[in-house]
Amino acid sequence: MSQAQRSRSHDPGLARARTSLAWTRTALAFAGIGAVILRRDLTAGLVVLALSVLVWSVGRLAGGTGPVRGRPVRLLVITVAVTGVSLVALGLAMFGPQTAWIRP
Amino acid sequence: MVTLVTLAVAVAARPEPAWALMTEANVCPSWRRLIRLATGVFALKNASQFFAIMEAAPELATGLAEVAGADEDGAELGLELAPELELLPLLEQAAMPAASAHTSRICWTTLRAIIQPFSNFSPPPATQRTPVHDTGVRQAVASQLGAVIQSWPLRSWLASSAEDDVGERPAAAVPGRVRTAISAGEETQTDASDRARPAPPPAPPVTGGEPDARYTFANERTFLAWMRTALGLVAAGLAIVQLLPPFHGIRWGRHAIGVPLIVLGGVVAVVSYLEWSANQRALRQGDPPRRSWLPHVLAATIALVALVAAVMALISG
Repeated sequence: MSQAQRSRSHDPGLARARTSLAWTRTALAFAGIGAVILRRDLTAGLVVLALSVLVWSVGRLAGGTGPVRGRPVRLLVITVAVTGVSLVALGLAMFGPQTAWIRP
Repeated sequence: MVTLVTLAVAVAARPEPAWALMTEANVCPSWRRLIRLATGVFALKNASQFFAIMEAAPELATGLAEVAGADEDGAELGLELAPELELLPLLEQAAMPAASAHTSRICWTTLRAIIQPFSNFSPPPATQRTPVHDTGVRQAVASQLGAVIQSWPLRSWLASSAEDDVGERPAAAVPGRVRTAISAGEETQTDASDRARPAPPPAPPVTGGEPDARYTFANERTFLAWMRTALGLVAAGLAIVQLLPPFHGIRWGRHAIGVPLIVLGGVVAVVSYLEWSANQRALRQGDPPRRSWLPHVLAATIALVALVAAVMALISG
């Protein structure tokens, strides 16, 4: 079996490669929003940047050569992370420095 | 007068005892059979028949031998007849495919006709479905009968046996394409199916087990795309609230635009995970994927936010 055939049978339709790239884009999105939050709140921004590192490492694991297994836990981690980020952003929006309408 | 005579004869001719006997014989034949068995009548009858056959068999054999030996042409006739007698069990009619082969083919074609409108699932090709022993019998017939059967078109025989299948099945339950393909023969059926459905996509397994890795990865990429959408919504909402200059005269203007986007990001994250789980379950069970209502919610919310933003931009001027 040649190298091309082995890679084709291991990654049919380049599904693993595309999924790995999707994980990378998600990690970059985390990093981007972490940078946005970092400008307003240092702690929350650092947390989101750490989450982007976590997403990137999880994506490396997902795109590896291992069997298709353990994905619910990883995806649940991402879901919790994104929900947490949205809650942090909601808190910043409601009680952040620009919320003079709530704290006159 | 004639009527009276007829009635009188009829009354006299009504045989009450015979009627009772017939009724008894019809009502309980097995009981009478059991009685005969218990009293040994059957055993006696079978034994007598057995001995009668034993007595008659040697006479018949000697009689046949005398006939064959008396005439020289008879011996040649017997030698000539012998190959035909050997070939007799291997005649084509005796080697017709078994009922199981017909049943399996009917099941596959009917299953294909039922499944095709709903999914891309395709049964194995017809050449793999033919039982091995069936093919072996056909090849044995062709080789034993020699040039006669080999010059025969085997394909026409296959077509005729396939037409019997069509007769056994209700015609309305089968689409026209499959019906015509069956009547044209098995090989032609496979060709017609492949021609009508060019390059069928690889189908996920029907029941149980882990689905094809490609579908799992595609489902995961869809989930990740929704996650990025959620993150983008959160980032946009936060940037609107924190970075946008305030609207003149509207203190809550930025929050009216940004907070719905952030909340929508959280909702998209949770709902997309639930949809990923449901889609993975559907893939594993071979069901069609669920219709997602997330795009509708996303489009409606963004349109509403854009409308509010436009109105506030016009008001604040």
